Amino acid sequence: MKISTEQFMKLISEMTEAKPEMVLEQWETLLQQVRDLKPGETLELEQLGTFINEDGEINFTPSDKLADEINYEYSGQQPIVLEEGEEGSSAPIGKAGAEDDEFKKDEDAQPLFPDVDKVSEKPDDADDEDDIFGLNQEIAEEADPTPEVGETPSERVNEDEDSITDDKKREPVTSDEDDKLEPDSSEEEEKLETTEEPESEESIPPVEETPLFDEQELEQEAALAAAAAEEEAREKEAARMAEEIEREKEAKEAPRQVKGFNVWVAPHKRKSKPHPAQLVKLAVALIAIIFITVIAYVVISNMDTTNEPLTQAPVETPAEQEPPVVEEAEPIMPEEALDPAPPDQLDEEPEVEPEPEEVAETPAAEPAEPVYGLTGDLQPVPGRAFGIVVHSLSDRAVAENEAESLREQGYRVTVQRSQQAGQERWRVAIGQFPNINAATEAAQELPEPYRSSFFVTQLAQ
Amino acid sequence: MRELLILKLTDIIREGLTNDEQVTIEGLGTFSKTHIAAAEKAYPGGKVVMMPPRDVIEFKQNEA
Repeated sequence: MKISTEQFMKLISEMTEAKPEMVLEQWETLLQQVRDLKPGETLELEQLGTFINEDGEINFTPSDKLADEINYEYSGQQPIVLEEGEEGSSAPIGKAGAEDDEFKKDEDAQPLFPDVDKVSEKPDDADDEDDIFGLNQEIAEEADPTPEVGETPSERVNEDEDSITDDKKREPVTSDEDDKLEPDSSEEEEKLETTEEPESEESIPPVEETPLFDEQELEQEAALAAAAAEEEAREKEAARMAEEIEREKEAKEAPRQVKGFNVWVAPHKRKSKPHPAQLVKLAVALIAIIFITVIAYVVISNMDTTNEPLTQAPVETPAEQEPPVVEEAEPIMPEEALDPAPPDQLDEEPEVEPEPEEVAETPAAEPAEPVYGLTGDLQPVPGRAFGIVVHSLSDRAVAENEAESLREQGYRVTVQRSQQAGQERWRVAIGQFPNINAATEAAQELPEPYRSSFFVTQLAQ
Repeated sequence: MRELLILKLTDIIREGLTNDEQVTIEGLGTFSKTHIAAAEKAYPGGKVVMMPPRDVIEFKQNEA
């Protein structure tokens, strides 16, 4: 806006109803006083300001009233101390120092996310589960290594070494020992009796029938008879062993088909009855494994993750159970070797289960909404908070409309009343921040014109 | 009369600057409004303050 002398005189004449010549004379006098200012001299005009000649250049300092009126958007803002220096170094700051102490305290005392440490501190449930498995192992070790039908895989794994050693000890198995170990089925006993009876009858009669006339002939005949009897006994023993193996195969296949999973049956120990205490320990171990499996399944299903196949959790026969069978009876080995159960499945089970629980706890501990931020809903803030003022308006209704518009855009909005020089102003601030720097940095993310025309203010409690 | 003249001059300058316009008065100079953004200010003793933003009036005398 450019106003010529004529326009200016006309405006003054209309307002004062004075003669233009008189107004012009006064105006010329005023201009001359400004021009005639010498270096260092000042000319103060009431309500307008002061003209100063500084090194031959005329500068102007507005009056306080005019300066406030021009600076109406930011009136009342006080400097805020960011760092406290030595005493007496901040003379012009005034009241800001008192506020700054509290501000610094707040800054130190307000972690952005106070629960972060708690979240990162995951309870070491894996150890607990390891303990559970360790307990299982102890239970399995304490238990009688005698495997039973339906015995859990974990127990079987823990008993592998004992079984192997037992089997090695039993490698030179005789038919009598087998009979002691496997008198389970009555058919076997009957067949064994029938096979052994003729053996004794055939081996003994030649000795009894030999006459006692010639000792040498008798000895030779006895030796021949003994050799023949041994051969027959070997053949019968081989036949009996073959039948026995077939029966064992049938006995082993039966529980697999019925239960749907592989259960190793130790034919040589089927008859031995477990001690009640052992059964209790085995039952506890089985319940613990089932419980852990169910927990893992629930956690995995809640997480909507399909990383761990559930087929690993159910009880399966570990391949590590097979070695005892192989060493005990070699003919069984080919069938056991075809067992599709992977040997590592049970070993992985204790390691796999703890992972989903740790993952499940992490999202559960996350706070719903951060205390500080630019967007979202206003949060209760411990201590002081700062906001970015984007509007400073004299009309409250207009300020509320602007605030509502900003809320619709997702911002946290605060409308504060400010009284400056008797004039009421309504300031619309967005965001909640723990300090000025955070608010200033966040303001750089705002769209124009807010990004280049904002100021930070302290939000009312 | 002089006071009335100065008062009217002040009203003209205020109105123009409030509307974000610079005001040029023939024979005197140009008044304009300049925005100074918030900035940190360090004092010799080590104290650092954040100065609030403000709008200030600048004056430039017309060349005769």
